[in-house]
Amino acid sequence: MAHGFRRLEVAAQFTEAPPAWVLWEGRALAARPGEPLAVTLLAHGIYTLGRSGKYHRPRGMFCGAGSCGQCVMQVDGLPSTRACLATASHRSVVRSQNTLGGAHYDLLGIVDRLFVRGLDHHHLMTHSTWLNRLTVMVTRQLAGQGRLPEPKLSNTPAPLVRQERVGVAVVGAGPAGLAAAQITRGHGLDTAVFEAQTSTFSEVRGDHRVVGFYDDRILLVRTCSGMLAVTADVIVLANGGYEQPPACVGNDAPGVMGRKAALLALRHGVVPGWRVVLAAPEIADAAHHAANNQAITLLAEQLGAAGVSIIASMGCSAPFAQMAGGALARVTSQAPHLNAWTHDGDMFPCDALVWCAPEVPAYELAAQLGVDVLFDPKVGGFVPSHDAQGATRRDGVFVAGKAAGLAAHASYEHGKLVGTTVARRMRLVSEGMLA
Amino acid sequence: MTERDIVCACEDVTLADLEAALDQGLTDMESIKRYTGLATGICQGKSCLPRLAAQVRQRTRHTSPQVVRPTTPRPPVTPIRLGELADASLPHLYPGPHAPLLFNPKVARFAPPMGAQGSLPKRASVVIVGGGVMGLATAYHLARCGVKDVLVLERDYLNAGASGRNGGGIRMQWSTPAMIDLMKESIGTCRSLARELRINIWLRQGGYLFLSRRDKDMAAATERVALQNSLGVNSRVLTPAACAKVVPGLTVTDVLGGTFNADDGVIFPWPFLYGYAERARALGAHIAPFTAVENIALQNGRICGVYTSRGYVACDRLINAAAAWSRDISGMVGIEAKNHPARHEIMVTESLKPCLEPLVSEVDSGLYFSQSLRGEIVAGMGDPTEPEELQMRSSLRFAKRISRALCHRFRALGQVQFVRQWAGCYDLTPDGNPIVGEEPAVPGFFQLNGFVGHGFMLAPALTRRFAHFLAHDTHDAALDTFTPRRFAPGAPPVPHETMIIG
Repeated sequence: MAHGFRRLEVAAQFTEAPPAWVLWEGRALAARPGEPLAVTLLAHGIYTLGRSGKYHRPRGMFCGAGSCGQCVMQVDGLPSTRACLATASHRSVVRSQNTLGGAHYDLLGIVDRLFVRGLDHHHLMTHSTWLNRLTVMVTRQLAGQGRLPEPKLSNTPAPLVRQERVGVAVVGAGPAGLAAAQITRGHGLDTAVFEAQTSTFSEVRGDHRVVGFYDDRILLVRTCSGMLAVTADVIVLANGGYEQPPACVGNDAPGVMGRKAALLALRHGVVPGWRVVLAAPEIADAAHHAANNQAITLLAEQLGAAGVSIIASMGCSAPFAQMAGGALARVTSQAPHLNAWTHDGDMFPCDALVWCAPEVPAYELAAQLGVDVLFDPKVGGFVPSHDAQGATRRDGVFVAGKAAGLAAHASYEHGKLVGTTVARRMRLVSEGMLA
Repeated sequence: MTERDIVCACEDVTLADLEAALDQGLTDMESIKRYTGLATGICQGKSCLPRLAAQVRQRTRHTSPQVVRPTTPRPPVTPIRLGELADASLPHLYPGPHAPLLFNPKVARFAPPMGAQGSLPKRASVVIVGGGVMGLATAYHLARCGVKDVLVLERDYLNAGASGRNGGGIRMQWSTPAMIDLMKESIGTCRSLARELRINIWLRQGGYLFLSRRDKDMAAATERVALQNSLGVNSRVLTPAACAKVVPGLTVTDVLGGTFNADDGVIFPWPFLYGYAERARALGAHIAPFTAVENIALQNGRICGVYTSRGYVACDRLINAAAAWSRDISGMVGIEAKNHPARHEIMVTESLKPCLEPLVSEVDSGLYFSQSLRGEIVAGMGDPTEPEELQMRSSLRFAKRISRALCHRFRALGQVQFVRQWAGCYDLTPDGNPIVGEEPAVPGFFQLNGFVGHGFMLAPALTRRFAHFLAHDTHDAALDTFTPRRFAPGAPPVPHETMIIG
């Protein structure tokens, strides 16, 4: 078990395909074809995938689901590509962007050390016109992330654009979306389920990412073969939520990752680290608390089975955890290790800190659909206003499961309830009893 | 690594930055977003807005409603490469009135998330309606001229209107002497404005490159350059090859030529407003966001006060700087306005290292794009089918048209990510010129609107002149062209301004 190498030997053994060789900042790394690039790098013990824009702080994978944007890098010339979504393919050329000397030794990291008390860009060098001009010139060179890609030389055939009308459009194929779709299909309704990730279900359209709601009628969906414009009688938003980083000092250190990122790595036979700390926030809401504990238990069991030492559980209890500590107060980075501190001053050194917190609803589509969205302190995020059946005040728009702010374990039942409500409503419409 | 509590990882906004904004009195989500830059990066606020909301809620618990709404989530929800949208042929998406319209398009605009703070003065000598760049800069210059009891009323947050929604271009390349002179002065002011306002406005004079694709545009361009040169502007006519030299990678095969002026440039609009507001406040002016004008009181035909959502304020003079909403304000005193609003859409890409020096614009299509100091490509485009109405929603039609136009004009952008689109309103006038001056029918009622999408760049010079005119009652020849009297029957017409872009 070489230090720094985080791929499970069992997984390596069962991989018969020859490795893909990925060139990371000039260094060839073996990857399993098709795995996310962030996982490839993690497998080689590389946590720092890039640097932040302003202070050039080291950054790694946090959400593992394409929502946070911390793991952006240049992949085959394409700027700001998310390493958790991009797949490793043979001869991929991958590098960090906006760095001087690479992600690990970025010389511009000096900005972070120099401006210890922060860099107030509004009032920087405004006392002198001459110095101000110089500041603008320097800032222009330092700002900006990726490099402008080369124009595509070959004219690839224009992607197809299709337009489609469906009865019920379900966004998201998690438990809530699948349950809702199963019910509406059972009532003979023409139902389409759009899922951003790859899906093996034949009833689900995988790799169909809904990118926006336009012009009061069009759900714009990005597919592998071009854009798809969908109109629907009913839209069920079951698009889950986003994991939020911990609210503490050092929350952006590489190695601090969300639960989904840890699961993403495990799914591909890679551990988040051999020494891991699990941490959770204080959750007032009983249902969310219970669901989060359940998720922590499942994660801890998987980590334990993979041979990972769970150094400590902070602010929660987890099976296999060697110690239970207080709530997470701050994270300090002492490369290649992280130190997780409690409020009492206890410190746990680790390779990775997995932050286990309930996701907050993905509310943007609901807002674009005209649903009123309000901050709910119980959920810790914005929740589309809805009734118990998931109906919003916008006719034909429903929210289900985590997207409705519910705890994860309630998703399936809520999806069924929403599906039943949609089916009943559609029957009333077809019988002319509802407009 | 310095110990920081990062709230927005995309833009490196720390908890301390957020607290500083709250300490400044910015207590609504939209303002804090614009002041700190939080939620403007590639993730579009997915990992920071909930935490911001929690902070705002905690801070404003006693003075504000319990509800906090997120900033407007702009499409797309996740970035798309421009090429994907450009290649998409979507003509049949707009089949006309027969298309099933499933949703009521009249979405209620979200109410201002936070209540206004403090109390309004009972009286002010000048009330300015509209807290955009025009209103705030006028307040600042009035205060500098000694008129300190000025009240600026803004019904939303500062930056909510076109002042916070424009592309930040500033140029001298206009077609009428009045505008050229004003813009020369404006750009001169901008050069030292950061020092004057004590806030960075990020002026970058990378020039403006106007491209002509039709013979008549080329002829007009040559004429314009001659006029501009006679007024001391160093613009010049370029061949297509010279255009390609100014912007490497530009498609010039369908271009007949261009005009270029190296002194033109781009600024970052948001801090302008905070700078003017802060300086005006420091000099004694009162700025009241989240305060709507409900009616205007007249006495013997003269302005005598204004009814706001927070009470009545007596005043002698009222300045209508409400841009797209100025029609409504004019209507309150019985004036039928000549200006009307029309939506214009705009977008930004992901942030890139310096790759585009000037702002590039096509005169005929109204396409324009430039690189902001943060590295994003900011692009907008006019649409001949846009109806004249007050609405600011984002359309798929624009997303597709702008992607296609950008991919054609600057091919490398095909692989760049489309991050956010939004819209604002141009305030159009019949002759393309602003409306500035006292309404003859209502003494004390001053128009300061009709800037046809270009008010931001005019503001530094124009508001200074306008404030001097108000404070000292001195005649200013530069403002003559823009008087509302020009619309009176029999009044001599003023030259049409043709360089309206977008």
